[in-house]
Amino acid sequence: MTGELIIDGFMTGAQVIKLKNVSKIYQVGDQPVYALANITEHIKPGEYVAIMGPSGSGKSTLLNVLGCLLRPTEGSYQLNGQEINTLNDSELSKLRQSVIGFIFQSFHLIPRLTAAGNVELPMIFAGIAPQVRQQRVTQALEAVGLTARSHHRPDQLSVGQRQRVVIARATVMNPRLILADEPTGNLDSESGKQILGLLDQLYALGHTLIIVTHDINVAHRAERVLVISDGHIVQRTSSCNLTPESL
Amino acid sequence: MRVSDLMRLAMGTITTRPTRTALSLLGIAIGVITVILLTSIGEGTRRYVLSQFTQFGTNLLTITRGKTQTVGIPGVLGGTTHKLTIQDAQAIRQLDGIIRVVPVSVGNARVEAEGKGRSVSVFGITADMPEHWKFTVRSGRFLPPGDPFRRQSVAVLGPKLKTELFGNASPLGSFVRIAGYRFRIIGVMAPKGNLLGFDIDDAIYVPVASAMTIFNMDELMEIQVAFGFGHQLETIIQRIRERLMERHRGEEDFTIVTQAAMLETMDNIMQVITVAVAVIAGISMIVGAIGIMTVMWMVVRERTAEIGLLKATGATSGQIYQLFLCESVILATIGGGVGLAVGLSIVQILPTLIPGIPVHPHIHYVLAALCVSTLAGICSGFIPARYAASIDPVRALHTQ
Repeated sequence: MTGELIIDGFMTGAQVIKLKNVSKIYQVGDQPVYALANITEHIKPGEYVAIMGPSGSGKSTLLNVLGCLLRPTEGSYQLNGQEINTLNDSELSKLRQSVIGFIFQSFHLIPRLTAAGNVELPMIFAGIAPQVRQQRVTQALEAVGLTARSHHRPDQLSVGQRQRVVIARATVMNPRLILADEPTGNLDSESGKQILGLLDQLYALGHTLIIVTHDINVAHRAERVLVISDGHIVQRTSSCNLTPESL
Repeated sequence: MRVSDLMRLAMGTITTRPTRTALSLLGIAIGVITVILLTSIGEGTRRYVLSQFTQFGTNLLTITRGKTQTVGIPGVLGGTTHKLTIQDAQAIRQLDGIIRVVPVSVGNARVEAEGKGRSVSVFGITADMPEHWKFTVRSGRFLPPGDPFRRQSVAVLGPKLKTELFGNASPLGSFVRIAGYRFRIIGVMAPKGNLLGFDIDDAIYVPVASAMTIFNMDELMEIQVAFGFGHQLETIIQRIRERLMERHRGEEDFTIVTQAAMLETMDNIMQVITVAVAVIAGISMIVGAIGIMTVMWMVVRERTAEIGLLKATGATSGQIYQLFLCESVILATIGGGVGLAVGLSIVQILPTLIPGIPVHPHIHYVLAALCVSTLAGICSGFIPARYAASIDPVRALHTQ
């Protein structure tokens, strides 16, 4: 493996996040199963990276490790100059709170809360004052074109609108790293285009985007594509060079 | 996370499913209602009993035959119990500090007049009885003062007995037969009501010597004593003890019961009963707490994906723990509040529904019920909340 996954500069410009020789091993009976095997890669700050690969290849596991939802079994993952394995659960939560935004395929919106309530959630756990929260919620929903729907619950929104609420929630804390797991997987083509357009906007604003996708058209919007198979990165390529045959 | 946000999030969850919320807090509510109701009846009964005794005053003593606290082996040491007599009562009356003595002989007998008959309590007493027991005469007069050994054939009717035998007519000057003995009615008492369930109004009062003749008894049931307020209780007791032992050949074969001791004993018994009842009722709260725990387990299971989301968006395990524990505590507190409101309402209307039932809510028990209900919420939410906090976010996010 060559290179390092480096997402630097999203805090102060001088900070670096590194992923080096990372493995994630699950024990199935007596057998160790490598969900990720010796991953060493780097991505520059503000980069738009797509991760592709067949089902079960380790794409989502890599995304979860990058999102600090999973700790690597082996190897080193440094975020903001800090080794993830040395942080306790509470410190990891604070890191997710301030640095990372998640966009899920299945939305994960809380059904009893309105769009505004769902967007507000990360700020509640961060202890941000209600007046500031209100202001940021308004801005985030405005950015995804859902100002008029702020008081609607998820079941009163179309799937495309739900995913826009998810994007608003992912960006409301102004994280520099946005991790998206199949963000258009549950959407019709028109809604998918809208979501990809919003992701493009986030990229243009300087957010670092890492997106897991099966869709080659989605991957084409990224700068770079990593192809994973059996827990290994088997291909690194510019999205321009990506063809169905190359996968 | 701010407390106001914690409360808002927890309340939002609780109000989303009102039926489930209502059912889960029902157990706690019923528990609190039970505790309030039973302790109110217990406290009401305690107050009723104490009021029944204190109405006669606190400077009273009762002397009964026999010793309630003894040492040794009866018979082996040759102890003899002497009878309490009218002479004993007269001897006590002569002691310094004693202001009144009422020798008492009581039995049941059939009282007949105007072709009607009724079995009632017959009190053999003296002229001092109305003052001693705070009774008043409604018409006529009470038994005449004088020699207590004199068997006068005069009687005073309780108001209920008078009504039963004579209706609205005045019985004064009429005759009644008590167990065959003929007595002239000289007075009717004013209504007094019940004393610990005993209807004092359904009785007849005759001179103590006459009562002893009717019942063919040569001893008293008890001697009632009143002493002056300026005297030490212990001194009075000692004087009475010495005088009676002197009369009973050195044997302390009697028991002196003070009003204070009796009240204390009654109070202790009633308090123990009330606490025991409260504890038994409190067990129902455990059932309520288990209900909340069951619901909280279901809630955590249902919201596993949500827990994963909250963790992904930066909620710490501690915040997740607080959130679920808060929901549990709110459920229990609402249950406690509902139970409190309903319980106190029932206590208010109970005397209307069941006239005469003594109920009095005691603030300590009410507060204890509320505290226990909140504690039940904490205990019942503790394990589910800990489980929720420990859920792996990745697995949780993959839960449907």
